[in-house]
Amino acid sequence: MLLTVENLDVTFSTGDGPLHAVRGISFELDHGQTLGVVGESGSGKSVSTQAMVGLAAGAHVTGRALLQGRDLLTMNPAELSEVRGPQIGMVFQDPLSSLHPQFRIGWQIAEAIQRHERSSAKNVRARVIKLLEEVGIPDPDKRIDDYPHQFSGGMRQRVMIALALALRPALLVADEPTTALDVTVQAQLLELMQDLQKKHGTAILMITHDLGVVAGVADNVITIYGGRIVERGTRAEVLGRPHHPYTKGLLGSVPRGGSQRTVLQSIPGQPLSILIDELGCPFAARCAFVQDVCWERFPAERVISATQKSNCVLPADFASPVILPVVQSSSSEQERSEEMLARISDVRVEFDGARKGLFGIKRNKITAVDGVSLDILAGETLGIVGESGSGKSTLARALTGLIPLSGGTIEFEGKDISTFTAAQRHSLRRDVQMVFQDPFGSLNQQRRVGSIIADPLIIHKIADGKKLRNRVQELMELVGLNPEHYNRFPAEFSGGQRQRIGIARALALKPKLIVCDEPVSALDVSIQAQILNLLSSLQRELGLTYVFIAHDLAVVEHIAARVAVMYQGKIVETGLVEQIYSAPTHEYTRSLLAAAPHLDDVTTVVGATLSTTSEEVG
Amino acid sequence: MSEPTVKSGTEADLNNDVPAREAHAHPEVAARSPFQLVWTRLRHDPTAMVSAAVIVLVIISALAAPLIASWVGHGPDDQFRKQGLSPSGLPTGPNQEFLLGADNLGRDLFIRLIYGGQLSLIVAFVATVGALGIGTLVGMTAGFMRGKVDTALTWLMDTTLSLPQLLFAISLVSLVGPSFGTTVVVIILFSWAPIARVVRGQTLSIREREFVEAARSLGASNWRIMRVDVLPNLIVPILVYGTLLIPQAIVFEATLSFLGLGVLPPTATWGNMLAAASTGSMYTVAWWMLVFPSATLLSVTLAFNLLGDSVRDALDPRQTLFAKKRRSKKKVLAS
Amino acid sequence: MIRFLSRRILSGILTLFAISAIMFFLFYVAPNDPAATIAGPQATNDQIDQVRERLGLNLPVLERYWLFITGLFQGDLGYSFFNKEPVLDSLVRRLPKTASLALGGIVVALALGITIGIGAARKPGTWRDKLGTTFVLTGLSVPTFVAGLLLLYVFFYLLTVMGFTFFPAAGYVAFSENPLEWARHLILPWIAVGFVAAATYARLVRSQLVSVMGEDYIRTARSKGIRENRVVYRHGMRNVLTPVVTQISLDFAVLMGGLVVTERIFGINGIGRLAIDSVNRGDQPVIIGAMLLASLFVVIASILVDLAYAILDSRVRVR
Repeated sequence: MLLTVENLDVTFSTGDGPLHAVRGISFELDHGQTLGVVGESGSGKSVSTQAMVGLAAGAHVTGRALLQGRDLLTMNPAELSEVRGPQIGMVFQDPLSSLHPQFRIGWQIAEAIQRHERSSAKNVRARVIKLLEEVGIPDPDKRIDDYPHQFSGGMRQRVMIALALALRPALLVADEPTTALDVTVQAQLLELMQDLQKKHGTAILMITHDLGVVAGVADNVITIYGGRIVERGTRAEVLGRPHHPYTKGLLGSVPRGGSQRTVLQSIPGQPLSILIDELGCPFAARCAFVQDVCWERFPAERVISATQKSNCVLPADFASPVILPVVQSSSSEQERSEEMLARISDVRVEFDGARKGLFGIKRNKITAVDGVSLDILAGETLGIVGESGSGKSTLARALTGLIPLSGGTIEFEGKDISTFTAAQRHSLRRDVQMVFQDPFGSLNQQRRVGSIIADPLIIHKIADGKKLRNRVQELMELVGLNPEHYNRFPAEFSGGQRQRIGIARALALKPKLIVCDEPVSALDVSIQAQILNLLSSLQRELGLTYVFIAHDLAVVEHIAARVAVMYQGKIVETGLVEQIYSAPTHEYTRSLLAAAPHLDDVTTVVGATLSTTSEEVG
Repeated sequence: MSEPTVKSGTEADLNNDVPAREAHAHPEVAARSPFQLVWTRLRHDPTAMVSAAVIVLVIISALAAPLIASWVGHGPDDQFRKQGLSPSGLPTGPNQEFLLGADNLGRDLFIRLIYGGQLSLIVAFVATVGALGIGTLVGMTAGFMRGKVDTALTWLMDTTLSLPQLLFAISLVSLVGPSFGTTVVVIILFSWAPIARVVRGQTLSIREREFVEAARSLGASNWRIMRVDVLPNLIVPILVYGTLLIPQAIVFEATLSFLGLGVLPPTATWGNMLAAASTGSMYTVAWWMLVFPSATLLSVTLAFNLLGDSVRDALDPRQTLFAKKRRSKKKVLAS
Repeated sequence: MIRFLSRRILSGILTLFAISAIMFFLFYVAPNDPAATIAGPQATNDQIDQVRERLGLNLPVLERYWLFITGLFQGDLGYSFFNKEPVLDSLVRRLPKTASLALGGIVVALALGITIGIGAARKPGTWRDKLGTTFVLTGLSVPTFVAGLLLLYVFFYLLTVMGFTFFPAAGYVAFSENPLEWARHLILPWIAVGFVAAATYARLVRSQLVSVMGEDYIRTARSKGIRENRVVYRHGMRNVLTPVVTQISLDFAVLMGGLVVTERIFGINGIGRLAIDSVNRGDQPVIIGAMLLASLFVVIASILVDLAYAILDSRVRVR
């Protein structure tokens, strides 16, 4: 066995009291294997490995972590630093911030080699060039002297992999290695890691929140919740026949191919606050099958099969594939309307770029949106997918009038909005609203939630006094918030709840069109499902039209009827979802679809009928 | 930690989506405003409390200066050449009549010290409020309006900052003549620019935040956005800067007075008392003339600085605990 | 890079112009009449008029400004009202003294500030950090003149009383004359200037280093097994350099002002002293000259700093 972790326990002391981040986890990893560690933010999945190798500052760590028979936790810092590099390599989430911006990449890799091995500068340089070549950096002998900012995100992550594997460690810890990258790049990197793993027999500890990544690369999987491992087993077992309600919930939350007419199985409630020390099962508060005993102690391991274990009191035969209920009523079918709500014709948006000329008074132009034409039909959801830099967010802002157009027209209900007077423009705001990506940044932290939601009503002089408060509370109820909480501050709400606040604000003016810019991409999967379900049910109830912008193909497939694929400022393909996802015509769409991780291979029986029409909202 | 795994106490869960299990849910954090939280943190910070106590003590003694003077029977400018000076004309040290000794003209050092405090504090408060007002206004306008307005105002700030402060101040004072008003104006003139700079920087970053974009998408006017969304988010830096500006203003005033360009003698200020101590190396024969004013000046400025530091920590506890910034899981850059 | 520099130089020149104009017109609108001051209290109106004519004060203001500006371009700052010496000469003569004081002060400030800042940042929250913070806050709280006076009291007076005289009370010896004496005379002034300025750097280095040490690339360096000292000094400090360099330019203006006080306390007859004396005498050309010289240094310092910034930051340097 390469790595044996027994009873690893991590505590931090904070100003708000001790923070018990990891609560006695044990697992094993053998040479050449990949272990997927799945959990949401705050589950303790990253902290556990960082604490193990002495990288979690201020952590109090107990237990044992045997790497090739030597206990890492009894080592002093100097001994640990001898292990990091030659025996354990690490790759982190954000390749931009993980490389030192002021040093050449070759220097950064060479530094790692020279720290642990005696070798001439010339030899080291040759080795670095070979490493860069191995991870697929073109022209490695030239690029070795470049700085990180001169590389793209994917290339930077390749450099990180070269750095982590420079000394051929037996174990590679990959902490959300592809989360910050676009899907196409993600697919390439996962493939690269698997190739290198085969070549060198490296074991990989793959820490991720993305079940799709795990489904693609892991041999074994463990699920972590609230600092505890709740389920473990082979990939086929955990993803195909999960036992623990949390694993089931996670799988049910992920939108995936073919789930368009289903209701996602969201997990109710919010992720656990790790500040609170629970005696019982950390998942109890959100579990649909909770029993009294769950509150008292953490359940013992239940053996499901020789390899699958689950820490749950439910009987072993509870293990079963995740089935997504189908919404049967016709109301869920988005009615095909031919009524045009808005028409975008040949829209261009340009920004000022780098300065030019001796005194830099003139500037270059950057075209973010380059001649986009789209029709938005009343009552539909139009998805816009694209990778970072495709111009989709700029398009969203142009559509809501936040950015002036450099060319083209936008017609709303048959009227060209560029000819509007200031007053008309102002009242247009009532009809077109926006939901933003960042649930932390889109709410002013200094203001009470009630006043944030009331903002549009005050600005447009729609209500005041008691009427205003009633309306605000109505809105809060509509989006599934406790209306009593109107005088709290945003900081007192979790990410998912904040996104609900943002939605309530967008709904206040009873708009016709809501532009959602990546509304779920900053949220955990289980919360993501709550918000998607909420958006769907609001659409049915209020007859809204959505323009839904996302990088995640599955999310768009789930929620949208029509989809437009955006690439380098242009729409390369538009059509019905079924059509585009099954028979893409454009090259780019094909590569995008091919790169998206698929859960379906190992899991899901989708669409099997649970005769439920219950519209679960959050 | 690749994700924000650490949440501060205010972000505890509310679980309002599962009311049935409320009994088992985590204890709810009472709805406290950020201000209350800051206050609670400050109250538990001994440094902050001691500093505040020192400041309050100085304010009280400054306010009560006339009372104390009449009780002791020494006016601030009264010269007691008989009791306060030795036959050879040297000032007497601390004794029962002169608590902290007498100065070179036989005046009661203690009484002058508390009168000087009165003046220092008033100058500092007025100048600070003035500088904060101007700095905030200029900085916010520059940061919010951007473009040409910003270029002009930024240039103004940079020019002000590149003036050799004290040199310019003394030439200014020499022109209009030293007085209380001049002192305040000069301090404001050299204090607003750093504030404007900070406020501008903050405003620039605030206006890029999504909640400002959200306000725009709601149709809020520039004025409303500045008032409702930008200003409240500037309060923290303004408050912190304000507490740190007061001691700077006290130092500035003292320096001007020391050079004979602040408030003029015989009116007592800490600066001109120290000037008296240094003239002709008086402190070599009367150490109290140097030590007591220095110590008072230092403890007051130190108290303000310590308090300012504590206020900053209390306003932003993460800054000291976790230097890490919060990152969204998948930050899609404005595409 | 060249574009960047040309922008900076252009704005620097503009700044200097603005300062010269502000100074010139401020003195013009000032209520006191230098001619009257110079002619003395007993002078008759005729005598004052004569003085005015001799100094060129009778010309229209715009013409005077024009003469002043054209003079500037020829390196002519005019003549002192008092001793009729060219302003430039008397400034240049005093420059070595002021420069010695300023440069030494900056060196002391940087050495002290960076050492303390690193010490505090490496163990945030410990007694070392608290000690550092106390130092910083004391430095920020103490006026230069108080620091100077206390230094003199302790290191000159008290030591002398105890029969040990090492530090002189005042004066200046040229470096070319006797380097050791030069240093001996300047140690106390350097400490007075440096101590107060060190606080800013200590605080800056601490906060920057603490935040840099939380960055992902520091974790990467550690994950390579790099030893902690190297992580701090090589990887961490590399990114603290830039803000420190930036701060130097911001501090320069404040420091120039601080010299006025220090020179007075330690009896150094430098530019600061000259400025104060000229202010008291109403010697306008000298005041304006001193101001412009000081501003020129500030502007040059800030351009140099921007240049250093561009060189230090790979993201600016390599595009």
